[in-house]
Amino acid sequence: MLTGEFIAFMALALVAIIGGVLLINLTKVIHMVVALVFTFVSIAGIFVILSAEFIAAVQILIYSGAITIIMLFGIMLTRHDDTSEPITGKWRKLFLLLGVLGFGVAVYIGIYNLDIPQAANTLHVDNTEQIGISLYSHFIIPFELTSVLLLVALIGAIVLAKKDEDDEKEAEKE
Amino acid sequence: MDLETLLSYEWGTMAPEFIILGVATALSLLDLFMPKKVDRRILGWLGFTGILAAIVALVSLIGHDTTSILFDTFRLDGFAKAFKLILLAGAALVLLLAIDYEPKEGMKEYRGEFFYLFLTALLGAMMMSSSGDLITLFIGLELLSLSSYILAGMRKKNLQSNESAMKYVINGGISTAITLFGMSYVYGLTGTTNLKEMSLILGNIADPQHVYILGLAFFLIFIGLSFKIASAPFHMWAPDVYEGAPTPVTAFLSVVSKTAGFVILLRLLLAIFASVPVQGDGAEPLPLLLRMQDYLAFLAGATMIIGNVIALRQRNVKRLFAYSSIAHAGYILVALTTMSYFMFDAIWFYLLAYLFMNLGAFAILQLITSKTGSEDIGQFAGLYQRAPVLAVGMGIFILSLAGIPGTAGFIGKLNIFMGALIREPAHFVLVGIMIVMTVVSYVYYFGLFTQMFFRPAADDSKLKLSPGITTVVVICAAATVLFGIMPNLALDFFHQNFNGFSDFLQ
Amino acid sequence: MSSVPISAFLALALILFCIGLYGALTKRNTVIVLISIELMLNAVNINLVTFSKYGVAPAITGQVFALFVITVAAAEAAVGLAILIALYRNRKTVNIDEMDQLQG
Repeated sequence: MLTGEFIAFMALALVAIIGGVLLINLTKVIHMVVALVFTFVSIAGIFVILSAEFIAAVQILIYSGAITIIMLFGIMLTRHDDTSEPITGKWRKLFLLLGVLGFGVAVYIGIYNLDIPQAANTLHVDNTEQIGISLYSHFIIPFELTSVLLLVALIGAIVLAKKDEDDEKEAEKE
Repeated sequence: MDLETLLSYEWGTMAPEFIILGVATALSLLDLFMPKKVDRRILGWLGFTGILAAIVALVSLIGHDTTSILFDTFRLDGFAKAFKLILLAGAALVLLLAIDYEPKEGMKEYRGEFFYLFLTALLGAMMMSSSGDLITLFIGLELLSLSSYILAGMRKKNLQSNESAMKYVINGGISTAITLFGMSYVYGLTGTTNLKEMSLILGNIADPQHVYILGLAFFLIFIGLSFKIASAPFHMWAPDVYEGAPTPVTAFLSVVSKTAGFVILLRLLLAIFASVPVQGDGAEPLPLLLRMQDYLAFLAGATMIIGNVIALRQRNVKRLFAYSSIAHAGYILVALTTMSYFMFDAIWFYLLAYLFMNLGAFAILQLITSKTGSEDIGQFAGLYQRAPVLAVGMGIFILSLAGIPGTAGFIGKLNIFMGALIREPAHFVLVGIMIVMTVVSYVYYFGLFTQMFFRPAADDSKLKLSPGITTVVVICAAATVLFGIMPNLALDFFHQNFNGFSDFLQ
Repeated sequence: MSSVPISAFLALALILFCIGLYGALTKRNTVIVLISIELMLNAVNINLVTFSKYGVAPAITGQVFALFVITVAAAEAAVGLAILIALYRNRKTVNIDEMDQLQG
């Protein structure tokens, strides 16, 4: 049965997977990040199919926006002899590839004809409001804890990445 | 939900968490506004007072009934109280070490951050031990992990510290993703994140395919969490991170973080997987968790062997203790594998004993490595001549780590043996491996021992003791001997107050 | 009812997860390793959101869980890069196998 939803899913899934495969196979770091943006955006599309509009918007903002930009900063602030590929470890790579494939197959056996009786749901109705209500009532404790987590990440990132004052003084002397 | 319902919960039961959170916030503000010249050590003492206050608050809650706030996103049960006591005591001792920590290149500038990141990590660990909801457990875990990543990289001009933090983040990120992947399947098959509801729903599961997926989820969650407790197959980060991180952070990782890892592991495994019935060959369906015993036993055995055998050829003391802590995680996994009636007692007591003996050893290790700037095992030579008190203390800790009678470590191991043998069928192989590996561990523990007592010192100067480290050594040595001779003090306390965790899933 | 079976979504998540896992285990460049970890977390999110709609008991909880995962992923990426920059300042490399200070 070829519905619009199915075609959309196939197209998005294809782009997501191609983006992922390119991420592994491209050699230039910048190209890898660009490939990843495609994956992130198409995953946002998948979320829309799954009636999670709010998550889709967040996905685009956080992943395609913030995280990609952070990664680009990371790449630009550090020098990359980026075309170099690993010299050693052909066997290790093969071994890992087989391991990951084995894991994939094992899980696939579990899910390929998974059948869960479908229940009606109203997720698409006022999606954002539902998330908000759940977040601010049921999950208020983890929500507040997340604010501590973000504060820790903020302080930590500043402490670790900041140039020290005496470093700057030394740099000026030189 | 209106304000009234929200206020009707007993928020008082969260007092220890609120105290830690409040102190951490206060420290971060103080650190910001205090003049630069003021010694930041005062913040450490404030943090220490905060932890003591939290312990007092927790002790006053011990008699309190099992309380659940907001659908179990926070719950105070016997399990939570028992393990939070260990976490808080460990964190208090580690903080004493951190106040006295004086690395070669200095860390004056970041001492303030150092202290309140310790507290946020502790907060994460405490939330992990008192939550019955997947999401809170996950956020607590990440709060602990993120704070530890930063702490490990705190000596930012030290290349080793940088590298250890980098390895820690990468390994931690991969393990988090694996755990979450497992959790997502569990969520999918139950439709809830509440552990109690999960165990009810999973108790009626019959579809073999669902059981298969749950089996996979079990492995994913276990492998992901084995990172936190530093056991096989996710142990390889431990030696590198332990070596590179500042010593108090290493102590924190090997005691508090490991305890928290076992806490979340117990919560998840027992709540989720103990209730899944699997139709076996026999007539009676067995819980999935018992089906997995063989795999758990294999991993526990592998962890003990890897930890003890590789420790044999270490010259660096911090690496030596990293492998030794892997081995100890293996011993505790034996208790988890056998699932005897004594499992909780055995694990709790072992973690308590491990807390004192390991922290004591790290206190002395910190003193010696920061005095000499070298982490080679030779630095311990002639410690008995240079500082007899320290040498005797270290002797007690090593004897306890090795599991010699008269120390807490021995009782802990004995409990685990009994649990493994009392069970039908008894786990003879696992107990055998544990005994052999304990004997192997004598080699490296007593290597350290001979260095301290029978080798001449390179320089005979007396070591100067700082008050913080002396306090930690004295407390730990006293506790190690006390619980070695009178283990019933701890065990009776445990049985009287926590009721064998009968309220685990209520 | 939907024309896309639930297993299709789960399979997509699984493939992305495997790609991420392989990348995280084999790549030398730290930035790429961090990105691979993000990909794995994204796969988790697809799973959660799928189950939130097609799971045993459809509920918003899965989407809320996914939101938490996204938050944590962002925080982790930020801290990871901060550590990378601190390391780069001292070492001038981003390659994992050149991190050789710690060996036993």
